[in-house]
Amino acid sequence: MSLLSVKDLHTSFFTDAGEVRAVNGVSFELERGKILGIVGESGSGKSVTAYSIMQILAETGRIVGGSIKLDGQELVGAGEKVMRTVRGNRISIIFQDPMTSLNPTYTIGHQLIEAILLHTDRDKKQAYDRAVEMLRLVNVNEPERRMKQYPHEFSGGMRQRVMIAMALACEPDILIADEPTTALDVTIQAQILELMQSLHHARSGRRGAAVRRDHRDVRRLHLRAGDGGRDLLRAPPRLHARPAALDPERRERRTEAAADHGHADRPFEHAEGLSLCAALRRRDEDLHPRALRAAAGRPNAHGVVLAERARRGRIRKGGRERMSEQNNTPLVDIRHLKEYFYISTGPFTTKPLKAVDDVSFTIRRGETLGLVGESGCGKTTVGRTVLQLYKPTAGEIWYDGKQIKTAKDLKEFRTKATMVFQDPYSSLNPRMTVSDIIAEPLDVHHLCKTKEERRDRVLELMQYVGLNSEHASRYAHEFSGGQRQRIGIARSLAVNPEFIVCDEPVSALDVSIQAQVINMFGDLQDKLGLTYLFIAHDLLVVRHISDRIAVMYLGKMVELADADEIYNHPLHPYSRSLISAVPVPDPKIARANRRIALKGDIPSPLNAPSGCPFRTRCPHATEACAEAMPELKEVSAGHFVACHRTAELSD
Amino acid sequence: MKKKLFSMHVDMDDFLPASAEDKAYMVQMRPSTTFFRDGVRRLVKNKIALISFIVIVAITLAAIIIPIAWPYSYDQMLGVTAGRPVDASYNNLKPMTYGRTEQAKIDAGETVFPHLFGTDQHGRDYFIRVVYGTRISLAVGFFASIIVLIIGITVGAIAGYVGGKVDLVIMRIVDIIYSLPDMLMVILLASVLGVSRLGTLIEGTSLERIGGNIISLFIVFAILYWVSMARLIRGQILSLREQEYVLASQATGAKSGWIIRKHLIPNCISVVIISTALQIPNAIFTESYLSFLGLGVNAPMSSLGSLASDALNGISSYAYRLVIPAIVISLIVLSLNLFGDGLRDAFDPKLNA
Amino acid sequence: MNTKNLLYILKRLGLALLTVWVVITVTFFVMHAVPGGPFLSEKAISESAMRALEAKYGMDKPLFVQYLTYLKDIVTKFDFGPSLKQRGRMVIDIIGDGMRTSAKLGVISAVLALIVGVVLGAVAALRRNRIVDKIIMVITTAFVSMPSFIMGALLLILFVIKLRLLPGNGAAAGGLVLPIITLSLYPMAYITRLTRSSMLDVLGQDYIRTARAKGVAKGKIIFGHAMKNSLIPVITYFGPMLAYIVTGSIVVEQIFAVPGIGRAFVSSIINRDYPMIMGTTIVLAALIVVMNLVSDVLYKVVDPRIKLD
Repeated sequence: MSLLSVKDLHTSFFTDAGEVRAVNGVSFELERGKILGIVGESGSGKSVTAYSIMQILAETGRIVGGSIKLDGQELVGAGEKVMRTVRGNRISIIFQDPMTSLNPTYTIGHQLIEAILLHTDRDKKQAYDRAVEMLRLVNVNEPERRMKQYPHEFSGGMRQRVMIAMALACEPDILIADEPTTALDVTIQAQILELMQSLHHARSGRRGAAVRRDHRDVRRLHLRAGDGGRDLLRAPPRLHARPAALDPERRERRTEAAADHGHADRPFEHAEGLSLCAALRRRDEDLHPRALRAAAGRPNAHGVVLAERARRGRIRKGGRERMSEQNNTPLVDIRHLKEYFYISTGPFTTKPLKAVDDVSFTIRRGETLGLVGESGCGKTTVGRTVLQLYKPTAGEIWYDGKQIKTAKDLKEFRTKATMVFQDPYSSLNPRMTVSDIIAEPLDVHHLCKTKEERRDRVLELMQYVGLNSEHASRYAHEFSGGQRQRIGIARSLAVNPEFIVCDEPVSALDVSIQAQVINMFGDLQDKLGLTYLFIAHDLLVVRHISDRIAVMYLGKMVELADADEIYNHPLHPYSRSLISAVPVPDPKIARANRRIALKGDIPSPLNAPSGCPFRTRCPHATEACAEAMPELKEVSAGHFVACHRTAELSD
Repeated sequence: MKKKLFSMHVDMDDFLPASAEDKAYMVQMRPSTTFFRDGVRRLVKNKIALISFIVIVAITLAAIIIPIAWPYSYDQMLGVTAGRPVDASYNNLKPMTYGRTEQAKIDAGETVFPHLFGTDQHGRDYFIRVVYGTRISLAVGFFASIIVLIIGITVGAIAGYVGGKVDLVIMRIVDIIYSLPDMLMVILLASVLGVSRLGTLIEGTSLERIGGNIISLFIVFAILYWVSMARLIRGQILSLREQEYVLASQATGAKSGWIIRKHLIPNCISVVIISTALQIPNAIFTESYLSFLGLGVNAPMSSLGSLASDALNGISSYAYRLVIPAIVISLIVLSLNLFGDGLRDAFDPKLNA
Repeated sequence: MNTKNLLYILKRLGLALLTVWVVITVTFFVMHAVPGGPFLSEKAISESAMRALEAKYGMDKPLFVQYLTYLKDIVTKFDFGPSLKQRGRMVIDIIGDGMRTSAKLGVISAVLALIVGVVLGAVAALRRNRIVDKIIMVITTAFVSMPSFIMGALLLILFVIKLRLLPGNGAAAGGLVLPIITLSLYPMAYITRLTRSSMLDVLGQDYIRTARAKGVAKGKIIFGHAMKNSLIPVITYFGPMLAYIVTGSIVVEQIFAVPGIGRAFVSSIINRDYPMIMGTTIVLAALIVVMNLVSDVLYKVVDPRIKLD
């Protein structure tokens, strides 16, 4: 008999607008000691399924049908009293956002001990010892001291560890992990996954259901558990086939998300293919070319990604050709760029926050330079400073052989270099229509003589980015995230630019939509001969589009090389860790390619370590690393690394 | 082809498309609306706000129109006729009763306009005094809010947009004024300004009728109450400047004027209107409070606060004289508050903490 | 208590001192803008008596010197000079006398408002959209729209004149009951609404879901996890509440004939007893400023999250 058995589960939210069916007939079995992955895009009902099992739904939510059996015991309709003995005791849960999931006004110790006292017979002293033991188990340093601290004194990764400790404190039978790494930085994600894997190994009696938005992580856990992708396929597809609102407040947005593919009028186009893409993912490399083409024709994420893969070689090659046709002077040449922000630390003292500290690079015409790094590494600041949205503290910006110095240079520069922003919600003025937003650069530079000319240009731009021209008079809030991002791209194209800074243009979008938008960038580059500085925190994203990739850490550039080179032979320990976190489609390779989990947290840029900024987390750091910042040196043609130990580590 | 692709891995039935019913359930196509129309639609749907709005309009219209048509005026002592002794029968009339000469007229078959709320201790028609009081209270509330609005926006916008040292200096001043106990300062200033040179300054002008106290009230508002508006506007502008669409506009090379006109003002305006709407009851509160302390309008002009204050003297016999202005003032403040809340909910949901 | 908190407290203390100084200065110069100056009584006094008076209070000296003397007396001796109308009495003594009654009135009102407000707010939040919640919300909305003098007068009519249940004279036995109710209703209604909305906010937070997932019982979640967090915003209302009670008591004491500082203040306004007006304004203002300071600092202490400021 399986440990947990969910049959035909239906959960609805009852709102003023009527019943919202969030989970529609989900069934699955979970065996003792196994890991079950549940994937789906936001709004597909993953979290609601998890909350239904725990019966911790929001006030308006209710299980309207089906059965949930734990070890044969029916939980639906069992009542609060029974559920209280189940929650935290037999089934535990880790939530998505560790920053808000701990009570800010109680110490970590208090919250851990509370959980232990609830379900065990331990007295306070024993509960304290157990709490310390649990913190040690999840690799929290100095657990005794940490017990007295409040959640705000912990970083996101540390809080997630505390959440895990709390969830495991009473030795539950089932651990539900509700997107436990989504809110974390890439290297911290690796740490948490590593921790969960090792805990699973150590206590083979533990079983868990991982709820994930991102298939990549789920599969990693699967493979490690020796379970293949089978559970993935067993996950009830109806979950995906009928995406419904997660909760009433977000219903509108979710509906828009469903409407994201291509046209607002055909909102269901993608829903049918969504779970397919999860199913296909594992074997895509084996697919028949004809199947590949068919998939490419389908308006869903996987099709797009596949098509992209099929084309990738061509684009790369195309890019090279494009570049070699031009003479060798770079289009964009950034020399020793520094951007310091002065943060006041007391009434009379300020301290420089070195967001960007001596960064140099060039971008050739027609090339795409990917810029990656985790939060706080200064990548966004680089993008904004290159476009002179911030006045550089020091350094030179050369464009097309000329240094941008005077106001007149800048004015001209503004018609050649534009930007696409990260947040599809805050980057569009909510009081302006789509056509006014797209035409803003035209209006600012008085590029259109007549109204007709302006209108035609706007419609042309909307066509470029695949927006329905009937929507020109609508307001931005009527569009979904992906469509809004298209509007932002259309705006950036309005002045016919040569160079576009793309500042994490897809990080706020769902996975399938990310693929669409990235492909659009590729197409536009082919069509219009654009040059990109493409900023992202996710290597997978830049990999698809970049010719060369630069990696930043705490305001410094640590490695710069051709995209393939950096993937196949990363030299800097930080790049290696980032790349090891990128999923590989082939499970065999994935198994061989262990994730390199870095220790510790990203230091604050205000208190950057001396010497090499990475040394505090570097597995290969020596004393020499604390003394001097390594230079960015060319180790092979076009491959630059800033590491003291390149020579020893490169083999 | 399609089928073959699917059948490679999974049972086709698991991937059935959503039914038409499911789709209809999910689709929420909305007609294109502007932000303003959207807000109005939400506002009209809010019954409480709508009723409050109707009440405010009704009271305002009444306060404007009734004095034109009413046969009595607010300062006319009905018992006093030139060349005759004061007819005390007109003082303190109960509602719907008449003075001696009026009673005689009625007995003679003439019609006399009734005193709906009776008269006060000086024989003045109480109904028209309440109407005038309402007029004064509303006018004070409205104009005081306009003053606050103008000063607050100007200072707040300068502080927020210019930033740097200017912002620092302005905000320190704002901090100090903000931490002053406003009501005490109002009392202090009103009690002094009322007897100071201001009295002689406005002599002979139309302002004299409402009195130096009310003028000083406006001055006090202008000095003290703009700070919260300025803070609000500054905060708005600072947060708007962080918005990526302002950055985007800068990235296209737009100048300050363009950004202010196209981005900052349109996005600030709803907050400004809402807080002005909520400022009005505040000002009415203050005016009635001062009038109650005798620091408000000059006699014989009435305000709701001074009427309540006067009524306190004869409270055991004429309690209704206090209850009437009390109801009117509470009704005005309540409707304005509810309407302001409704405006906020309709136009700026994020303001509603 | 780390240095950051200490720094914040010092900064806040500095602002409070500055504010009190501004109040004193404004009060002094505003009062001296009155024609004839604050010591001129309306009754005509002889030229020589006037001179003697002026010399006695140092009024023959330049205005700025007088200001410094006034400031010095306040700071060193807590002396606001003699009252103009109550011959032979010092302003500070009159204030002290009134303060005894007023403090009792104010403190009881504040505590009552706080207790009842928090309880009602919590009840409303937990019974959201049920009938109890709706009744509470309607009543509190009505109360926050009613000026204190209106409320006081209506209570006076009802309980003193119509029902004859309570005395209308604040000095009589039980005379403080009505003034206390009058003063506490507005802050009570305000605290109810504040507690309700912050409680609803807190109940929707992720950490409440965490507590539920741990298996904590509902009552313990509300009183253990939700209450502490939702009361934090209420602390910020302490300062404004005191300001309301101070200004409210000015009229309420008038209505119910309570022999407190508010009544003394009103009669000094009517009698144009300028030293008394100045003294009372400064003392009450200082009280409010201090209370604002306390509530701001308390807020920081209770909420462990450090806010950069």
